[in-house]
Amino acid sequence: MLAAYAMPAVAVWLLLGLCTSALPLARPALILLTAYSAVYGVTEASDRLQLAAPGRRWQVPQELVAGTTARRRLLVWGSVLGPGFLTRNPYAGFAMLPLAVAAAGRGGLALAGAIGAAHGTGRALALLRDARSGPAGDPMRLLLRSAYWRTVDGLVLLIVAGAAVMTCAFRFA
Amino acid sequence: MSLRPGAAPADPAATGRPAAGQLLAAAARPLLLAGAAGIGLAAGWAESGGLALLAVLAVGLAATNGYAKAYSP
Repeated sequence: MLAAYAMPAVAVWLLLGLCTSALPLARPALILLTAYSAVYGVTEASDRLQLAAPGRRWQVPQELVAGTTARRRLLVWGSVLGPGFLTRNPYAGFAMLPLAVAAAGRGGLALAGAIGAAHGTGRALALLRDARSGPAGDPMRLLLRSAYWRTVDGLVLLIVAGAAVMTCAFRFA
Repeated sequence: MSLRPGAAPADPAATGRPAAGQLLAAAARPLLLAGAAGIGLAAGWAESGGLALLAVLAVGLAATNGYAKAYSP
């Protein structure tokens, strides 16, 4: 299960790392990353500003998984959800990750692989946890947990913004 | 206060005044934001412009993002 999610994620992210490390994107990506992390960090952690996280609204169509074998379902879910690019994501932190890969320059390939492995494994672990504890059930509980993770995401983005400001200062000053 | 027949009674918790806990949380939130940014600035300064810290943060964020997406309603 972990491999079904992590392997496609690593492959897709490595492809992204390969593309970005071949282009001279490190400097503009670092500046963009700083601004993005600051704006969305404040938005998510303050819980006052209404700025939707950038991303797609697409969800996996039922016909892709309904009435198919368990193996094929795992393959579809793993390939679609593991990398994280295709489906809806309510947290703004995800869109910062490609910027981090681009900002890393030549080290972007290794970082992309690590990000893919981390995201795919995290996604699979959450599903395994839900499979053990049963469906979430209460929608209010789900909403509160989502708000909690949104705040965590915002605070991490603010830490990233702070660190990125110093990186810009050391590199560009 | 008289209610219309069949109308639900007013929410007893809705007094119009925020609870002490709510006020405390509202006051603590800006401090939390400033603290997070301050931690980032201090760590970035200690790192002297290196990208290793940003890379570690990005990998950590990727893991929590994947884990937390299961909670998206």
